[in-house]
Amino acid sequence: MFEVYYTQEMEPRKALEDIKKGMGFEPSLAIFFVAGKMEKPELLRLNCNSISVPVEGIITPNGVWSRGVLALVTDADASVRVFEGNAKDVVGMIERSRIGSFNLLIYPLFFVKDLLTFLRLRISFMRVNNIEEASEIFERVIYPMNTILRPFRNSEKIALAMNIFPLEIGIGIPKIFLNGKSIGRSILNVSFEEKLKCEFNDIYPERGKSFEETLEILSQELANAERVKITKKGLAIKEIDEKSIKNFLRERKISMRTDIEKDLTQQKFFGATPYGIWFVSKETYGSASLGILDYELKYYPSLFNTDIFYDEAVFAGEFIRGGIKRLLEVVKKSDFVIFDQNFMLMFEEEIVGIMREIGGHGIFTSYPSFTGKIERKLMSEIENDICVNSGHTIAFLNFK
Amino acid sequence: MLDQLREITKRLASDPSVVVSAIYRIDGTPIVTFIKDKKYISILEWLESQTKLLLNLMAENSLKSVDFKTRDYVMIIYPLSGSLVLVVISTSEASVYKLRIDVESLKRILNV
Repeated sequence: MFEVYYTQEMEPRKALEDIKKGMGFEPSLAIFFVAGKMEKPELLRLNCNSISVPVEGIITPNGVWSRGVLALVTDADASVRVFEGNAKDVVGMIERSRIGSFNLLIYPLFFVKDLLTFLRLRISFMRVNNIEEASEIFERVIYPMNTILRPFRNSEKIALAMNIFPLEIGIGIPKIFLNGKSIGRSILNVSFEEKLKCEFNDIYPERGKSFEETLEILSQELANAERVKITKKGLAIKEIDEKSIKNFLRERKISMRTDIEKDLTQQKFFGATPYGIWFVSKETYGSASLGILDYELKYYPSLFNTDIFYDEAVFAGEFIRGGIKRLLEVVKKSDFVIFDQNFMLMFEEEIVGIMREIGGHGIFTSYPSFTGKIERKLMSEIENDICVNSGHTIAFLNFK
Repeated sequence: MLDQLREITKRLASDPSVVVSAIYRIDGTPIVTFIKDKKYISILEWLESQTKLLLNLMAENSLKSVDFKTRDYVMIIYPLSGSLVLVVISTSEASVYKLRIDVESLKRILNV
């Protein structure tokens, strides 16, 4: 059995009281999705495995809320495991562990533990001489979305990943808690023995059957698209058309941010941008986009491993042809939905009407990713049975 | 009806960044006002002096909503119905898009 409860209370003890009032069974697992600023979210605990995760917004059958707690509780047979280390270590650990039929991954996509770690990384980064070294440094703070899903795909299990990347990022952010303790830079796997009904989608047109066809589809879909050549390796991007990302954007009169150090230390790094690079996969001809900002960086980080993509890509402004109607076409009645938080930024209050179509509950968070059998030729399928994108993705869950 | 309007202002004011939430008739008459500190009265007075034309435009349905941004505050004027307008003033750290989403949800849930 799965149940969902919502409270607007932002004081954890009062929120727990509210949630417990309606609860009709003894859960084996509770996941608390917290929107808005809460003091001590680690106090959100029941007498079972309890996870607290920050999200950007909460969907209820009545509306969309930027504050409150949504509790997803279940008595289903579920285990919770924590995998700590860099992506390579974590992938090895997951491969050796027992994986259930359906897996919900919760982890910080980008995480710097503290100021000391940040300063050490900064020094290492300043000494970097080549792109391989830059990629290795980024691996210390980023869990690449596609790499993390591979062990699940290889063992033919379903995994839905919540790649937590809040809109306002700083050092030690996001804070995810398991049973009152911060998981820091780790991956939580909530593994269910039973298969949950999960449908994954994105709001792009279907991908093409060739590199050229996908590029053509993307060029027609996006705003002011231009073909570019990317110098990249692993998690690092060096240049677009042989220019640094900052200079490339400045040439197009795009100016957004200047001081990454100040933004990160003051929790003012904004995790969304209207400009990006749309890569095309050599394996499926699917595409994943990476938002770019004009920080002065010798190498720019990617949130997924770029080795599977062609060097030629599309630079464009974010745009959804058809606007909110396109979103309406893919939204369906579900018990629980996970929506890309960028939809909140794009559609503001218009999103409320759409969400009421769902009938159930859900969250706005950073672009979910997925591995499992996919019937449509989704644009976001960038490796066989692996769907990843840093925007415009949605997951629908049904518990019955 | 008045209870519903009070509920809207109260729920918006539960956000720490919101310092004023108020509902006006389209002719500028205040119906419900929730102010966290009397120091915000002067901002509200300034806003009222600026809004007469805007309220007229809203009444004629030619203006959907209006935002004012100062160094310290963000002000949103948002129509709730053909005759009521919501005014929300928050500190500049607030996310305007989030406030708009909350307001729209409250409007629909309370069926104003």
